[in-house]
Amino acid sequence: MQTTPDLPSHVREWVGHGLFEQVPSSVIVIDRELEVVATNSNFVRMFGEATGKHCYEVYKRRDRPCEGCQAIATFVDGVVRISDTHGVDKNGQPAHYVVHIAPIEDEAGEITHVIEMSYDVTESRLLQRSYNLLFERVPCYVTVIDRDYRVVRANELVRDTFGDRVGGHCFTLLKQCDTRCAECPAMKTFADGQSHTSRQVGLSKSGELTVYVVSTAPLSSGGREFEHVIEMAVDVTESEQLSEQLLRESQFRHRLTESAIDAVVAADASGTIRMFNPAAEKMFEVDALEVTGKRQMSEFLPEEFVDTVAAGGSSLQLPVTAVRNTKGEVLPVRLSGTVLKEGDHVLGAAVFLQDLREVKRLEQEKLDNERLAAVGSTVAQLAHGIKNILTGLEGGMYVTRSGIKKGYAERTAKGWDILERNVRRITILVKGFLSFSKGHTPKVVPTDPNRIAEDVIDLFRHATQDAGVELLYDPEPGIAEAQLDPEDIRMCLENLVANAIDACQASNKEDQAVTVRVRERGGKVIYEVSDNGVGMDCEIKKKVFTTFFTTKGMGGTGLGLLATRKIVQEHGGQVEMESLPGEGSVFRMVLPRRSLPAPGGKKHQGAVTNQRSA
Amino acid sequence: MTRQKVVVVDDEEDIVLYLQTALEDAGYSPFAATNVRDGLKLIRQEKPDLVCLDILMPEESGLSLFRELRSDPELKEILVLIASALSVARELDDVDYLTLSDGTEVAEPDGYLEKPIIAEQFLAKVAALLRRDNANDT
Repeated sequence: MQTTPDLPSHVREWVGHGLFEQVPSSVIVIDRELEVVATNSNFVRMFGEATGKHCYEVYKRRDRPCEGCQAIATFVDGVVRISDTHGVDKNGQPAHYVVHIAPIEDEAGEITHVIEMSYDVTESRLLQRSYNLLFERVPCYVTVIDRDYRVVRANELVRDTFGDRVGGHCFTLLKQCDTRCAECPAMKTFADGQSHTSRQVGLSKSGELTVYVVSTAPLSSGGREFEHVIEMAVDVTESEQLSEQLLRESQFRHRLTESAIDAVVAADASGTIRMFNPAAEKMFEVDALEVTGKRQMSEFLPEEFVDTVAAGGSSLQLPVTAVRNTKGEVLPVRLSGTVLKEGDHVLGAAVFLQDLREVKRLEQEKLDNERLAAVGSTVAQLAHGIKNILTGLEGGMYVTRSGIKKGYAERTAKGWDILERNVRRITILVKGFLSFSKGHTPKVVPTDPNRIAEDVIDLFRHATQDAGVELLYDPEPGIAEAQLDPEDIRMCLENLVANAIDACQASNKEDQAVTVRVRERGGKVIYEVSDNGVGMDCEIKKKVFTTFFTTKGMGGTGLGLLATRKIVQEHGGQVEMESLPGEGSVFRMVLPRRSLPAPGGKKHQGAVTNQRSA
Repeated sequence: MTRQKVVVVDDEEDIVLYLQTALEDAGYSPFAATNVRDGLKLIRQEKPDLVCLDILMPEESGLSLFRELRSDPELKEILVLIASALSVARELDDVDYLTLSDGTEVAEPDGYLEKPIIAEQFLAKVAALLRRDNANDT
């Protein structure tokens, strides 16, 4: 305690040494001149040395008494006062404190001094402001309601959304209804003093259905009794919609994988299978329950994919690979696999497997149907072809006979030519028809692709010379042997070359040329036959692969391209064509090595129903 | 007596040569075209007594040439013998080739011959048609 030297004894007594020091307040005693005569150490800690100074110099750093000074008032009327006021602490920082001002009387009852006890409320006021800010600015609807369910306080969001509704019933706000809600969390809180949370459907200000999560808590001033409940409501409409959408999408995805024709297998980062759809069950002939969470992906999927995952790869496409099912059968499949990652972190892997047996079966079925339809609907057209050829034979005989009878050697030779041509035609027709109408598995053997082309070039060398068409051969050296049926492919190439020569002859160009190319590109063996003949317009291009379509009158059977396409398809390949009227045409047989049949036709087992008869 | 003119229209050269030879041997004066356009030009030029006409030809059907002949006042009297791989009874009956686009009906072909064509039958048919025509004229 610090005091002035001449502190009157009654004041000294009043303050009492121990108590003065111990109270948790900053205490000073001032005389009628407002001069500090005693301070406790708490006061000194807060406001600095003060004894001998005027109180206003200490508290407020002023040089004269404050207006409406509370201490002066107490000197006058002796009333104890409490004042909430601001000042400056010893470090010059703003201080917020509550001062308790009480009179000290001498024996005669005169107020000689005043004692001022200050409580520093800077911290608690700061806290209060923070809470207030929180109350106002928190992004949810906060109201304080009384036991009549009237709003006594509402935060900024409530005011901004619904207007100033203090005094109104809470249910007129979020729900915009006239009566109390059936399931009222505030009512429960008023009843049991506990916090409650519930989902409430209300209306937004514009009248749209809005979902709120409402939390209520008792607002007491410390005791058990409370008169108010604080209610916090969050608009969860959007997030509910989002989660519903999420749910729907997840259900959709679930159904998608469940009903997918492709087998879908997904594993977690440890390789344990987590998803095994019905198609996968069918493919591997095992129940999903025996697999998911129990078995490793590596037990079912090809090594290439397991290795890709292990090596940190991100995806793998295998157009043709094989898996082994639980019955030990090896199945041809198309694999498309993805490693699921988040950044560098592997979450798992998912694989789609397409059973190629089914695809092959469907392809074959389509081919068979096409063939049957063509055969069935065109017997009459075949008859036309035969009738024309028979007329040619009849004519050949007549002309020959007439030449002999009249001794016209030239006529005889012409007649003989007609006979030869038409015998050849009927041979081609029958061969073409047979190869088209019968399904057969190509008899593949390792064959040098260039060799077939050489044979065909040899076959046509003389014919093209006679016809005045240049036949060019452009092989690619070093193409490895491929699994081809040399007879079949030779026939196809013959067809294409014969067509090309015809196309050249039908044009009036001077330099007529047919080029045969053999290439290997990206694992595909390609035969290309190009000509600079008449070319084809759109109408003809659309029809070239239909049965008995021919632009050659009696010169064509209309079966050549169709038979060619069929054979190429049986080899797992495709026939491509490009053509411009007047410019010429390019026909390509594209034979991917990986789709070529295995020797003995075992690769596509079950796919071909009709075996070629010996 | 001048030799009677016969025009053969067929896309197949072997047949054209065959029928020309047969006609020539039988004493006619044969002409030939391998498509409808050339055939019509030839017919306008030669004014033949008879046209032997194929139907299934790649560019344009023989039936369009037939209608052309029948609807042209100058050519409508020319005898037309259809010689086709189409079966007359089963296939040609299904096609309404006698009605023109303006709705008028033209006269039927004078004769049909289904391929394969036997020379003797062909010449007999041609002779019969031309004889009947001559009888009508006189």
